[in-house]
Amino acid sequence: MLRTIGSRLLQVPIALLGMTLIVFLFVTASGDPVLLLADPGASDADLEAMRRELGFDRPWIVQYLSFLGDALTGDFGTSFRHRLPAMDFVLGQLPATLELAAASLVIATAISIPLGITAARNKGKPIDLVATMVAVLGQSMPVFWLGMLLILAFAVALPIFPVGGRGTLAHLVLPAVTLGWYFNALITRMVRSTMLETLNQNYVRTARAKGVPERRVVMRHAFRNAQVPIITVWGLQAGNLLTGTVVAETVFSWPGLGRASVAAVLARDIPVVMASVFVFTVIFLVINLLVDLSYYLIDPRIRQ
Amino acid sequence: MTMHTIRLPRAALLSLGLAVSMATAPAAWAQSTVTIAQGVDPDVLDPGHDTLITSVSTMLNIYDTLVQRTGEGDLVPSLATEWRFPEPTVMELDLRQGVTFHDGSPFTAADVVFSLNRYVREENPLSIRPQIAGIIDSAEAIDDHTVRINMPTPQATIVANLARYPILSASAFEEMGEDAYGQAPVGTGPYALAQWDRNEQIVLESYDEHWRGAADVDRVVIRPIPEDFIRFAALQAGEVDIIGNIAPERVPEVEADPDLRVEAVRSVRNMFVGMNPNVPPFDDIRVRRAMNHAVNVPALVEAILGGHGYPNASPCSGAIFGYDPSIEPYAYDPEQARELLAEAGYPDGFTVTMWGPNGRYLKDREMQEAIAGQLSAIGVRVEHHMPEWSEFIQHFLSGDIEGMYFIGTGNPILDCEATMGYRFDSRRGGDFYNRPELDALIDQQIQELDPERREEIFAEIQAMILEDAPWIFLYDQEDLYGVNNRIEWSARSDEMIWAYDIQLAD
Amino acid sequence: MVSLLKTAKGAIGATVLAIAVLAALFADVLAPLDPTLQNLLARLRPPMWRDDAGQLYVLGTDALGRDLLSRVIHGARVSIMVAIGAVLVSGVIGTTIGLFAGYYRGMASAIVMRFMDIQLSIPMILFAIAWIAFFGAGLLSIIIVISAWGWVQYARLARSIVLSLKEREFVQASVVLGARDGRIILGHILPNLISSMIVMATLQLGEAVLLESALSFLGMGVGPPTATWGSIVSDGRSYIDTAWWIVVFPGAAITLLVLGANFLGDALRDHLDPHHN
Repeated sequence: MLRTIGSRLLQVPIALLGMTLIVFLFVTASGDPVLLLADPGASDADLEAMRRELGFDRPWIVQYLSFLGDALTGDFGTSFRHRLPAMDFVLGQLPATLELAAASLVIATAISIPLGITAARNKGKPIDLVATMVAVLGQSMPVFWLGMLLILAFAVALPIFPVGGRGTLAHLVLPAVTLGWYFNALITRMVRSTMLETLNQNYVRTARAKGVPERRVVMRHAFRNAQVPIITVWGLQAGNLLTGTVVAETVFSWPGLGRASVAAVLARDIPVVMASVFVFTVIFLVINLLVDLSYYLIDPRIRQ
Repeated sequence: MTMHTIRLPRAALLSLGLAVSMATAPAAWAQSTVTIAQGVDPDVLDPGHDTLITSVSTMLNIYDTLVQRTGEGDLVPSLATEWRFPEPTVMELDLRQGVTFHDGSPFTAADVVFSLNRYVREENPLSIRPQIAGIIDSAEAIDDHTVRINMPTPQATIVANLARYPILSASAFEEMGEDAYGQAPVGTGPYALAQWDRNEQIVLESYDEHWRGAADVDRVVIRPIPEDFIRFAALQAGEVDIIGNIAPERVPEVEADPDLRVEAVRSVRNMFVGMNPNVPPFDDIRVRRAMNHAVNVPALVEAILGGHGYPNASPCSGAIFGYDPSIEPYAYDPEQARELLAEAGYPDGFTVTMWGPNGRYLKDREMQEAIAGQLSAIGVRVEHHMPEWSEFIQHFLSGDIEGMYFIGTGNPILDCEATMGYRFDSRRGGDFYNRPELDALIDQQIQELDPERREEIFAEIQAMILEDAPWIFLYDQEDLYGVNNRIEWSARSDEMIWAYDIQLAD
Repeated sequence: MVSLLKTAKGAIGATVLAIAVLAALFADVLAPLDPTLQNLLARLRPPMWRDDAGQLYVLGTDALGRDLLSRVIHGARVSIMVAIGAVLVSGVIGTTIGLFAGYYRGMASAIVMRFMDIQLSIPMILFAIAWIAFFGAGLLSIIIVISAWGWVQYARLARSIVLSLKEREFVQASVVLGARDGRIILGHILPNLISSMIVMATLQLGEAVLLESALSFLGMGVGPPTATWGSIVSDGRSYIDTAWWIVVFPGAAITLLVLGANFLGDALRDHLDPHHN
């Protein structure tokens, strides 16, 4: 176990190095940020002077190394567009995204676990069919489409929730459901199939035979085993969560790092791109680390 | 147990719904708050660095300028009370006394000198520099309340230009440093920045010591909402009071709502499709004219903009000085267009690329596709490149456009001269255009101080451009705003939203 | 194959995929109208609208008066081409890498494994957007970016299967008999690998369709006048309350295609790999 965690930690610098290098190369090579910063009508001499000022007249490798050197000291540079430290900007955009992601995971988990368990216990009955439909549809619907259908249903036809923007708790509901739907589907499916397996296992039957109350059987004995795959899904889907976040933030005009980082790539705001990549990569690695740790806590067999 | 857990989320959702309707009900204090929704958040609140029109609109609430333009378009004193021209290239201004910045410090000539010289500086140039270079050489203080501005040549539009250079606080700027100042600007304007949650909201509080007196509205919130449907829904829900760029097909819906109204004004913004005249096929004037004959502008404006636009064969908007109303557009005549193409050696048409932004202008994407649709009738096949704005403008400014481009020209000084500078003056980076005789006329009008004579020169310029047909001339936009009836405000043709002019209806 | 189609899932999945492929291949014949043909006087007409000439617009028209049904049919092209292209590219590359990483355990294999772990931990959407900003949003560029996203899945699966195959008797026997690596790989490993890879590929088809549509929706897909499902939905965004059909139908097409691919994948898995579960 310690080895797993150790190798995860070792990955951190390599992942960061690789990702920043690739993105840096593409973004630098793909366009000239100065053209975006200057007013239309800037003269060539003005553009040249701006390039010099921002350091774009240097070879890319020098630019990258100097970025790297500064980043090691925690300095990601100043955003070209926003004129403030890139990391400050990124961290300022992060809470909205975390709020959305956390809410969507809560919703997904709160629906999928009871749904999966109920479906497994009532195999072949209507509720099982519902669970299967939820799982199948959730995995097949594009996130942006689901978001727009929800807007259509619950903001236009039945004006219960606001269509977009961030503000009250109600603003959070539709984007969180949109983003959480896919995970809901995955987890429902996972819980259902693991529960089906475990409910038929000997120790569960023994517990039942001993007269342990059904609720206890399900929660204590059977569900315990379903936790591992659920956590695996969380870890594996961390990457998809970001893609979903970008889309959900776009559909609902939700302010957040997903949208801001895409805008930064398009605007060639390299310090912000780099700081976002750094933050996202660290978040993924932390999630995966937590996943490893939870295996360890949940399943004693892994401890050996 | 399980039934209970399943029901729980639903119940929670319902009660959430209730909580919302209570939260959005206007509380008593909200009476003096007005919320404005724009498409994008400013990058930074430093006018030197961010020259995007919506950012300028936000900043003109925080900063004052030497001269200001009223909603009717008149230029009136602001931080400058009077001005005179001791020589044709020298302007002297008396500054208003007793004006203070938001930090309480007094406004003096040093602030004006600092701001103008910063905008115009050559080394480490700012984004705003192209708007001031060639118009002002330098500024200097004569005494604490008098300033001298030196110009390279006589400038017919100097007063109008002074209405677009916000005045910064020299002392606050030095103290805070450039970057920090752009996050927490200090101006003399009627509103001071209270809070800025990036990409979410800018909160402005009325500055009670403002020299014109405190504004009617205590607090102004400016929210960036990129999706136009969501912006519209926020207006309907009463979450925001003013939204710009409402889609024409929503106009009837807004008008039917007893709480809302539409404010419309002919914009200074003129839309066109430029053709690069330096490379085939557009190096042939017959091809460029054929393109104009092939596009039915009134039909496009009617269908796509719901009639909310003004077909215009001049590059200058009908809302600005110098526009020649007698100008006659190319007639819509696909037959003649085909003949012209055949004469030019393209009897079967040709394939050409068209660059244009997606999501920047009212109905820009539909408009580009519709223009392409009409061109296909004369055999011109269009390949679109339609990225979002930042991608587009980057490509456009790099000059790498072989075919056509769809874009609009704004006009911050409400004078045809700005259009010439942006699009035609070869010495000021005019798009692909280089005609010495036109450049000579442009120089003439800049230095001509008699407005009537200037109008005559502009008429000559417009006739020359129309004949040469470097563009497919399209239309002036009509700016459409959705406004909540609880406020009094009317739209300005220069795309600015001045919070000081907003009043609550009761 | 026949028994595969007998299961409901397999039959539905295969039918949906077949329809989509046919639509993509014969869009010119199947579409009632030219998908780029505009009629500015017939914008935003609802489904089943009929014009004066009697032409029926089954799914209505879009903001430029183009026939939505024709656009949805033509939109199948991009989805199918990108999905198949990406699955082929990432499948071949991923399987090959996974196979060698599993067969030759050693330094190189360890490095490849680390690389895959790392790739799984980086935000691919940012990579994708940077790539598209650089190389443009052509068909090929999008296929490459989606392949770069997906190959790891194949590589991991292939490697784990190869690892277990190597322990099996028939492979061990060949090794003992002195067979060459190439012979063992081609003769014993690959044939036993291929069915699992096909299952994987089918499941990844849906994934690729979803990714392409998301990129398209974000304005980073194949541009106009080519109709793609993602971009039609994106274009319909501002009309969602006045012309719901523009958003609803192409989105439904995406969902159906992905659903079909997932069904077929599930059925294939049950069919080819009955021990699964």
